Amino acid sequence: MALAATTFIGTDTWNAELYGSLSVSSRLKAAIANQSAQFKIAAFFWKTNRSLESFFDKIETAVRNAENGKSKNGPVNRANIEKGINDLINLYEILDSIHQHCVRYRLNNISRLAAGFGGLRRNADKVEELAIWLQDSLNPDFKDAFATAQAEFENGETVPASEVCR
Amino acid sequence: MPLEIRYSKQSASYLKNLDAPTKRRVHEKVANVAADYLDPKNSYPLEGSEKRSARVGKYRILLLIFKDKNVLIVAEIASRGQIYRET
Repeated sequence: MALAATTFIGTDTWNAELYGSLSVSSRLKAAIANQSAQFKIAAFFWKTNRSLESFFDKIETAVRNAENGKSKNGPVNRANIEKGINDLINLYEILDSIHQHCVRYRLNNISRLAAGFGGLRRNADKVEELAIWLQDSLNPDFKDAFATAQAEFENGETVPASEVCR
Repeated sequence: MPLEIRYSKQSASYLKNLDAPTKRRVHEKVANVAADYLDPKNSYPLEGSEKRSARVGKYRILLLIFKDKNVLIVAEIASRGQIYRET
């Protein structure tokens, strides 16, 4: 596995950001389940989204640094990545269940919460995307697709975008 | 300078069967990657920087980049499965 970007996984920054997001999203879930005041839920939405966006920023910076050869972190092993995937799945499940609770209690129709609700769904999808990316990197079922595409390109069989976009 | 975009046979034929809004979103995503393929907001590296993965809704797009030839190949478009726990 040649995925330099994953060197960020399991570092102190990763743990702080991930568990911070898990903590605040669990508090949001509890606030919704306890039918807390709308203002309290709106504040938790805001905190959760801010925490998740900070986490994504850190990951994107780590990926960019790794691709530019500026990563300061050491190599990461398979077990660390698997743990990272499971942590991301835990986070996704909490966010997804918050989304379902909001729909069940019709909180998605309240204008005060709508922005936070929409942001949370986008962030949940992004967490899922990260987990899938890490799973793909561990289970490279994509190698054949790349080999076929490369062979097609070398034989001049690829299709220009102008023909596909019509 | 943006990379020239080309499609493999599989991705071209898959794309033709998608509905128009999804097709447009895929084109936009690929164009964004072609403009700056190292930007992790658009795609993530799978193997080195040349083999990358991007996502549009439930579709996974595999991208192969030939930096020296200034070409980006859309290697595969596929509906991806659910995430699952590593044991």
